[in-house]
Amino acid sequence: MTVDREHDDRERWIGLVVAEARGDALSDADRDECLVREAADPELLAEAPVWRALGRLEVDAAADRERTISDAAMAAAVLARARAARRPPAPSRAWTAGLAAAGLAAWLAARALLTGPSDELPPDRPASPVSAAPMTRVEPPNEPVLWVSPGSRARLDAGACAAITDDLDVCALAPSELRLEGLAPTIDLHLFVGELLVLAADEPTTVRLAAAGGTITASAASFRARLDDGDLELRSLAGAATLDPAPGSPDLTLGALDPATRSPDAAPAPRRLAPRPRPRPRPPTGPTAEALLADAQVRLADGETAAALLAYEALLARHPDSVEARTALVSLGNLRLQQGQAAAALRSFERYLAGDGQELAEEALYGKIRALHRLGRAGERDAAAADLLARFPASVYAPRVRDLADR
Amino acid sequence: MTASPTSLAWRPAVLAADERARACAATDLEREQVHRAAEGVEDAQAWLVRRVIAPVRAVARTLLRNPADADDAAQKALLEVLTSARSFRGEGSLDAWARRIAVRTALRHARTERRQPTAAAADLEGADWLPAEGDTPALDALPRPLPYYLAELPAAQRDALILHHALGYTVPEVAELTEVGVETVRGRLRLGTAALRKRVRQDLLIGANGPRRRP
Repeated sequence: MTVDREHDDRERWIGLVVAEARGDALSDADRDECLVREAADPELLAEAPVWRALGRLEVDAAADRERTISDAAMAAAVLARARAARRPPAPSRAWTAGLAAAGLAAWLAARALLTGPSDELPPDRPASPVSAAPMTRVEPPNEPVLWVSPGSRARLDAGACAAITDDLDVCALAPSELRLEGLAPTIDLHLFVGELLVLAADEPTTVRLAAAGGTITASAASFRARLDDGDLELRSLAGAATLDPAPGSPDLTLGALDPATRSPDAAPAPRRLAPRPRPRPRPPTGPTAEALLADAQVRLADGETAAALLAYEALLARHPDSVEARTALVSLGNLRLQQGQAAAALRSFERYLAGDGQELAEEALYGKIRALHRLGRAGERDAAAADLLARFPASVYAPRVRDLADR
Repeated sequence: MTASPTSLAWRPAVLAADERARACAATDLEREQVHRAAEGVEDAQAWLVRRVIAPVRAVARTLLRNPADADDAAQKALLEVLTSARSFRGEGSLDAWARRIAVRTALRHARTERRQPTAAAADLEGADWLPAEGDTPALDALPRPLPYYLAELPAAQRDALILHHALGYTVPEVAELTEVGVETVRGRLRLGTAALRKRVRQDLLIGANGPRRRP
C-alpha cells in the first residue's frame, strides 16, 4: 500500500516536471511539492547544474569578455550606418564621368597652352627634349570627382578622370578599365584595357600599376600607361617610374626616361617634370566618409574582409580628417590583427591614440596591447596595459589585459 | 522542509528579467526620445542605441555563442531598433521591445548564416571554459560546459530551450518569436529537455570530463 502510494506520488511528480518543462504554469502547491521532491532526489540533484547554467546563460553572456568590438565602437558603427542610409544616393557615375571628361578636356587644353609643346601630353610620340622654360602648373579639374571604388572594376570613357586618393588621379586617354586593388602601403591598380594618365601630387605616394604586359612602379610620379595588344607601355611625365615587363613581353618603355626612344639631340639628363602640386581640397562629390565607412562595415558583415580593408583604407585616404576615419583606424587595426599583421595593426592603433577625440581609446589601447604582445615587445605592452588599466579601471578588457601582462 | 534556491535540483532557473522588463511601461522621456529617433534626430538615435546596446548584445550572445556572429547580429539588431523606432508605442518597456528585436534578428542571422552548430563547436574547441570543478561547489559542476550540450541539440530545440529557460519567454511568446505553433514549441521543449538530460546523465555515469579553462 505504502509502496503504491509512493509510486503514485512519483508518477504525479514526474507529470508535473514534464508539464513545467513543456512550459505549462504550475500552481503554488504543485511548485512547492516539486521543490521538496527535487531537493531529496539524488538523480535530479546531479542534473541541477544544467538548469542552473541554462538559467544563467544570459547573465553569463552579458558579462562575457569575449567580444570583437566594444560597446562604444559598435554604437559608433551602427550610428554611422544609420546616417549613411539616410543620405541621398551619390550622383550617378555617368553624370560625374561626363563632367569630369569635360573638365579633363579643358585642363589638357589649358595645360598645353600654358606650358608649351614640351609639357604637352603627346598622344603617341616620344617626349620632346627638355624645355628650359619654367614649368607652369595647371591643376586638373577639381569638380566633380568620380572616385574609383576599391575592389570593383571601373570603366572610364576617353577623357574621363577619376580620383584614387586626394593625391592621385587617373584620367583615361582611351576607353579604359581598371581596378583599385590596394591603398596601403602602396596604391595598387590593375589596368585591364586602355590608356591611362596617372597624375600624382608631390606626396610620397607609391603607385604600382599592373597589367597583362608588366608592372609599372612609380613614386610621387605622374606617368602615362598604355596597354596595347598585351604590351604595356610607359611614358614617365614627372618623377621616377619604372616598368617591369612580364615574362615574354617586349621590354618597351616609352618616354623621357627611356634611352632607346630619346632624341639624339636631347639633353643628356632625362627631362623631369615637376610633380603635380597637391590639389585643393576636394568638393564633397565623391562617396562621403560615412558612406565609405558603411560600405566597409557592410562588407565586413558579409565576410568580405579584403574588400572591407580596402574600403577602410579608401576612407583613410580620402577623408583623413573625418570622424569616420578615426573610427576606421581602430577597425583597421583589429582587422590587421586578425590577419596576423601586428606591426600594421600597431600603427593604426597608435595613429588613433595620437589624434584628437578618444571615444575609442579603450578599444585602441587594447588593440595596441595585443599588437605589442604579438610583436614580443613585452616592456611596451606592459606600459600600455598599465595605461589602459589606469584610464579604464572597469574596462571589459581589464581581466585579459592582466592575463597578458602576467604571461 | 523548504528547499533553498541553491538546493534546487532540476528546475530550470528561468530569469525574470524580461518579465520585469515587460511589467513596466516605457517612461514619457523614453517614448519621446524613441519618437525623435524615429524622426531621424541624431542625438536621439545615439541615445537609443546606447540605451539598449547592453540587453541587445546579451541576447545576441546568449543565442549565438560565437562572439563574431553575436556581434554581427547585435549590430543588425541595433540598426533594426533604429528603423523600427516608429513602431514603438511605449506600452511595454523599452528593454523588452529591444530584446524581442534582438531575438528575432539573432535567430534570423543564425538561419541565414547556418553557422551556429559550427560556431558552437568552434567555441568549444577554444577550450577557454568556465571551471568545471575545483573552484565551484560540486553542485555547480557539469561534466562539460553547457554550450557543449546545447550545441549537440537540433537548432530548433536549442533555440526553444534558450528562449524559454534562459531568456524567460513564455511558450506562446517563443512560438511568436520563432514563427511556429504553440504545440510545436511544447514539443521542442519536451524533446530538447529530454535530450539534454539524457546527454548530461550519460556523462555523469561515465565520468566524462570536458575541456577546462586554463589554470
